[in-house]
Amino acid sequence: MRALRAILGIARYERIMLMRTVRFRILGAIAIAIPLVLGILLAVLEAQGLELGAGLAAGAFVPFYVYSYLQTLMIALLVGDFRAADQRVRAAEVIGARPVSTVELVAGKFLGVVGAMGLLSVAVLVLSVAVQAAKMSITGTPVSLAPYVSSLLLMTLPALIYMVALTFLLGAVLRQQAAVSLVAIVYTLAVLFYLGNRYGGFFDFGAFYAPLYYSDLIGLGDIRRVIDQRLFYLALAMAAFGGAVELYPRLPHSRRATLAVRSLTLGSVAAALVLLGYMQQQDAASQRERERLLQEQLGAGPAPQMVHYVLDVKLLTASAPLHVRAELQCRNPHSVPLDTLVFALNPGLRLHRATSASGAPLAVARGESVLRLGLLEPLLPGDSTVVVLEYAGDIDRNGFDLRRGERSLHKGRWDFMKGDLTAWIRPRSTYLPPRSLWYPVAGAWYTDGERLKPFATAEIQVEVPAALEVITQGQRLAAAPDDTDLPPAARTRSTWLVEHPVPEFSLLAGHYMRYEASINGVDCALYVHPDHRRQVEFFADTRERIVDTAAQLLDALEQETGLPYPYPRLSIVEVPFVIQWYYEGWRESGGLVHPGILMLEEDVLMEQRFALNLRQRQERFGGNIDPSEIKAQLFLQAMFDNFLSGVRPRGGMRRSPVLHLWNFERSFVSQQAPLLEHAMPLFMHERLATDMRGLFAGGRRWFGMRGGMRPSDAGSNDAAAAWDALILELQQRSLAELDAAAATEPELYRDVLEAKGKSLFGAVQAVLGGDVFRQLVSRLGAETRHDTVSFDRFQTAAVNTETDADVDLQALVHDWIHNTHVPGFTLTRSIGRRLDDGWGSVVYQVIVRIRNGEPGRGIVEINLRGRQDEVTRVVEIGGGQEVEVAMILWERPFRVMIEPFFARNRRPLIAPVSIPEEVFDELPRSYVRIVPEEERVVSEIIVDNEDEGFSMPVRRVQRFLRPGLQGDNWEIREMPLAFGRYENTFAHKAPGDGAQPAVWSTRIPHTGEYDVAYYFVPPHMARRFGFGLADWFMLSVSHSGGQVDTLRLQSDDLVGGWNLLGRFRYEEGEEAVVELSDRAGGRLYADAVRWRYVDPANPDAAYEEEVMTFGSGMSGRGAGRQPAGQPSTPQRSLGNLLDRLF
Amino acid sequence: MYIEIRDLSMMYPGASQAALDGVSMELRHGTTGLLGPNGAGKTTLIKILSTQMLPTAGQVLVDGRDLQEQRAAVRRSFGYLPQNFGAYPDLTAWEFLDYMARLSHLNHRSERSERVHQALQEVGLMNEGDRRTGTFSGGMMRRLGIAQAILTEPDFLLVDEPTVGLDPEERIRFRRILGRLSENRAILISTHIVGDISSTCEDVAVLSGGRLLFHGHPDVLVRQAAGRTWNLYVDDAGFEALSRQFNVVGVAPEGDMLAVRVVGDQDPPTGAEPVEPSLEDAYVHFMGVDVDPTELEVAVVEEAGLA
Repeated sequence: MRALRAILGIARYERIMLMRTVRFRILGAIAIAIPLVLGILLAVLEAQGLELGAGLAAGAFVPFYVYSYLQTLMIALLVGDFRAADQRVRAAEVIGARPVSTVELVAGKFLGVVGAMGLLSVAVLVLSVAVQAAKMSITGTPVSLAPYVSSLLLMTLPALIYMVALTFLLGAVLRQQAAVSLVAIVYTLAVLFYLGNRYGGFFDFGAFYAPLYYSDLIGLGDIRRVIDQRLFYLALAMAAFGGAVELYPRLPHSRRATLAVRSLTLGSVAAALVLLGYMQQQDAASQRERERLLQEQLGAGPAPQMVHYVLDVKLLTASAPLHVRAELQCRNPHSVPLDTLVFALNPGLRLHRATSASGAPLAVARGESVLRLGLLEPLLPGDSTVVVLEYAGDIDRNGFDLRRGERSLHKGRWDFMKGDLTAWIRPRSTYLPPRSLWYPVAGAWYTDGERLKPFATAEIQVEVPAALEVITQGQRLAAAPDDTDLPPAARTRSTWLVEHPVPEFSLLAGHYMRYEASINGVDCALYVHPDHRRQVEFFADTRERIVDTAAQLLDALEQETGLPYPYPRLSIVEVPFVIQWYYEGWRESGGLVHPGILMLEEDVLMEQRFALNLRQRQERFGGNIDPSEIKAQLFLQAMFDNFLSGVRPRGGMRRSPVLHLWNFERSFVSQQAPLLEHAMPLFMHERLATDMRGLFAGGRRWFGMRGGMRPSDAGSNDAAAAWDALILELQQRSLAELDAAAATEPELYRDVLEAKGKSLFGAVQAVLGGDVFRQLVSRLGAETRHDTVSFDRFQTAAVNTETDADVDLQALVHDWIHNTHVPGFTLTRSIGRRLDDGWGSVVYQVIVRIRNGEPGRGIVEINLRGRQDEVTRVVEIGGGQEVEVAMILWERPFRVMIEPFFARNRRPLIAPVSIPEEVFDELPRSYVRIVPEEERVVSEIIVDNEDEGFSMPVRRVQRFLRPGLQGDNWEIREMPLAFGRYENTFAHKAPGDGAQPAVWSTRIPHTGEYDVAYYFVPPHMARRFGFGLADWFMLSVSHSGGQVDTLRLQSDDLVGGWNLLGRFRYEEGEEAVVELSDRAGGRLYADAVRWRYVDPANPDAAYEEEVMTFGSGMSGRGAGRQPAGQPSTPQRSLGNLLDRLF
Repeated sequence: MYIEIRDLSMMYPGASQAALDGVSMELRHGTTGLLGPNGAGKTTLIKILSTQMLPTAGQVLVDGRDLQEQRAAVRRSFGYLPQNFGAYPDLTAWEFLDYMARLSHLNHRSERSERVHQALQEVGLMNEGDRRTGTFSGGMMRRLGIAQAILTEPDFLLVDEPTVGLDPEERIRFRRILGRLSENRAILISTHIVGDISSTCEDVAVLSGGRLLFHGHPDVLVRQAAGRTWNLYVDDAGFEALSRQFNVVGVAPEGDMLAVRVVGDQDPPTGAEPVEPSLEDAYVHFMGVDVDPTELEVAVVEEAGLA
């Protein structure tokens, strides 16, 4: 007690002294101000309906999270060498001579710092809560202190204690305040920006990446793993503290005191190691290995076919979280008798009883998730039997979600981030997805062989505490009035009848308000947390309208896909929003879809945004629109955003109803099965999203390439780099080869499926036509319902479908899967004329030429569009071929767009169509023809740094012999964003004296005007190399038989990619040269130069992939084509062009 | 309290000469002056006694208990004022003493308050208790140092070079405080300024080069200088010659002449007037060194009647 009082006394004064320092006050003010300002900013934005964080807590926690980062830096800067202050003020000797022990002294100092920083944390917390409360008073939802206090206790304080202890230890070792601060800051930054999110969160001392976001549904969820990790860091803190005491420059009181300190240090290290071992054991490879071996031993043998389940489930009973009595009706689908039935059941569920239908006990062999039941008599082929299992326990979260690697099963890469919130049974909420194996599943779960979907019917009876709502598959039966088997008080029971076979079962329960309506014969139910009911009640006054809209949606779903919604009930259930992150961690499609159930993340601010949108639209229409119409639109918007999201394929697929329609209804087997299982629904989902938006919102079809980069990623350099890398990969290995490597390179294969795989179905649909494709899917869907389907079957059905298109579908699909060619397309011509159709009407004849400059056949969709009318054609173009396509439109077309189906092009090709007013008396024609060699006009010449036309003088002499020359030599470097056909490289060089220019030259094949463009390395990538960029540099363009124009360019005016230098005239045979002088204001980059022929028939065509503008400083002949300072037409950026066109 | 120092030696790592070389002595109730020039080993001895460092050899017994074995107990009974004493500038004098009291396990608020009050009163800082120590003068800081040393009413007080850097007035005030404190405890004052202890010490130890040259009653030392101390008047030129022959204890200008006090074994100079030797004279005679010129200020103040 005396020691404790001494420690607290010391801590008090240490805290006072720290808080009185100027440094603390300045840093403290910053640490409070930044989160406060951020909190207010977020609150203002969210109150206006602009939610930056996800859900209730994310936005509110952002300031607190930011403070947690600041806190660690503050500690590093404030604490430094904790003994320095005593020595600086010359109080160290009198303190050292005091009767207080060294442990008490250091502990007091330690607690003093923790206390000062803790007070700051509490201040920030109070302010954050105040801001949140103010915001919630607007949104009308309750404020909970629990998440903040939990965050303080789990995140801020342990991080604070650890960091102070570590800094104390560093101070004791390094004895230099500056060095301590530096090391501590570097460590903190390394954790924040590199280590924190790796190695299962091992290095995340601040729990920065821990799943600590609060959910109204489950609170903080299962944070046991986080607590383990926090204890680990507390133990490390104790060890560091012991080290700091040990190294404190003072003679110890006694040997006993020394021994005690060393024991503390070693004990803490031991505790940390034990905790580490425990955490590792949680994810232990040995456990996975054991699981694998058991599955090999016990799981061997044919699995029974499940026919019907009768599940009597009791959740959250006094004896166990989950208690189930399961009657399993199994059938032997094999040709040999079965004497053993193999099931998979979560290893956390202990089997109490296994009997036959007559009650005779069965022999049981159990290991991890594998369960083998020895039958009393062999089950003959085609026969059925019933076994009864009774089991209870809690879900072992290490017993599932395992991935099969080359040698063992393992968890995903973000264990800590994911936590174990992929399944739980908690008093407030239960979430048991099928893969948690909460019910017996036929066969071993992790099998090397093909796993057919076990379609079965069921009767599920669930008893839960009365406050909980249950959601599972099937139809919810009303309680029978004469039911004598009533559940105990304070508990409720519901019965679900699954008459339509489903491949899997899930069980959800929670505090929900249930809203129900029968729509098109489907029982629809919406389950939301009571705190979020306002987002439903917002639509209360237009309920009928909303139900009508929902009915239209369900209708459209079937019409657009050709597949009917298969279940009698559709439950839409709010789930904690953190789950989505876990699925992102798993990169799992469809994580939020179970048969008959769609899940969406809880969102407290949804109603706020609805209301805001309503107000805005009412203001826009000046009260001339029915509010119920707006609400219907908002409802549609919410449906599209949540369930037909096209932002990211996986994001969209996570909650896509397509899974109900396609994936849950059949098993995918044989070669290329992933194409049908993953790529097909992805394609269907995106098409559905586009078509449905067009249907309901009157919107246009997505502007984006079919199978190219995702439209949303068009501006992202990282996405572009990933796309280029993928293209390079696909030039090495075909889709079929990658299919074989799917187990070893799952990420790559997934990317390939989402790019090339998905676009295959787009190409097939384009060839067949939308309606025919839909009929094909509908027919195939009906034939394969609850059965198996192979890609061959789909291919055969597609090839045998009659079509008008002049495309060899069989060859196209074969090439797509087995070839490594990736076509690349250029739009070489787009011209139009007005023609008299002979009946007195004027029609528009448009001729488009497209060249495939790469080997291997490709397919493009050409879309010609006017204000009201449009025409689309699908054309196959062989490698090296150029085709001419003639199309007719009944109104003036204004642009032509070429959408390649998977090609090197990152984006669609677009060109305006300028048509003179003159009407020609000529019959309009519609055709496709291959342009003969003699007709081809080279439309563009690109000289890359890898090409022969590029030269860069490399100095062979030593630098000291030529001291006048500067800047070293040109060097080659690889970068995905550099221009390149097959090798993405560029040359770079430090500025020199002008003696080493980079030169691009080419022989001009045809007399005419050419747009000359320079490919500039993306500035941010250049900076990433740490070289910097030239402020200015000079490019000389030779043209017109020897004239040379020198352009002085400013890097700030350029963008990454093609930058137009100007329009210049060249004679046939003339050598066109562009020279980049090495006399410049910084490092130079030489990549590629392009000469693009200007079609005299359509000089204003802008068929760039992305035309970058370099508007000023033009001195070429092109510069005279427009007023000074104004960009010429071809120099318009794509964005400007689109703005004008749409 | 009884402290026995047995054959104490200290050799700093890398040093060629021992800082302490077999020092043995006993310390009892009352004030012991530890005299010696700079580098004599005084501070080393004080640091060992105050448990700041371990000796290379030897033993210190405090009331029969080994100092190194019983560090915790010894720290409770010792008060220590180091040569370079400072306090946290952001704390007031009261807060600083309260903090020191907590470091001394004075955990009861009332007891602590009383002790702090007493200590401040003892050193004459009662009115400065609420003032931040960062604003204290050197003398006030020294008094605060004494206050923290006597907070726990220790039996033994270790004071290392207490008057270094103080102005004469503070120095005299400080001596008075030490004189009062010596009435009920043992005090070891380490100093190279004899004036600090001449009026209060019952015991003197002289260290030089790490060795104990003398330990005994000051009168014994004084008697050694009897008949060898003189006052005389010389001009500047005469002072030069005189200082080469004798150890000069004090110099004071008087008109055009200098009043000089010298000590030496030679015959007295012409015109010299024999005087009774003081401890300072005796120390100078014993050590054969000239007095620190800064001591002249003290002499002047003393003559002015402040002493």
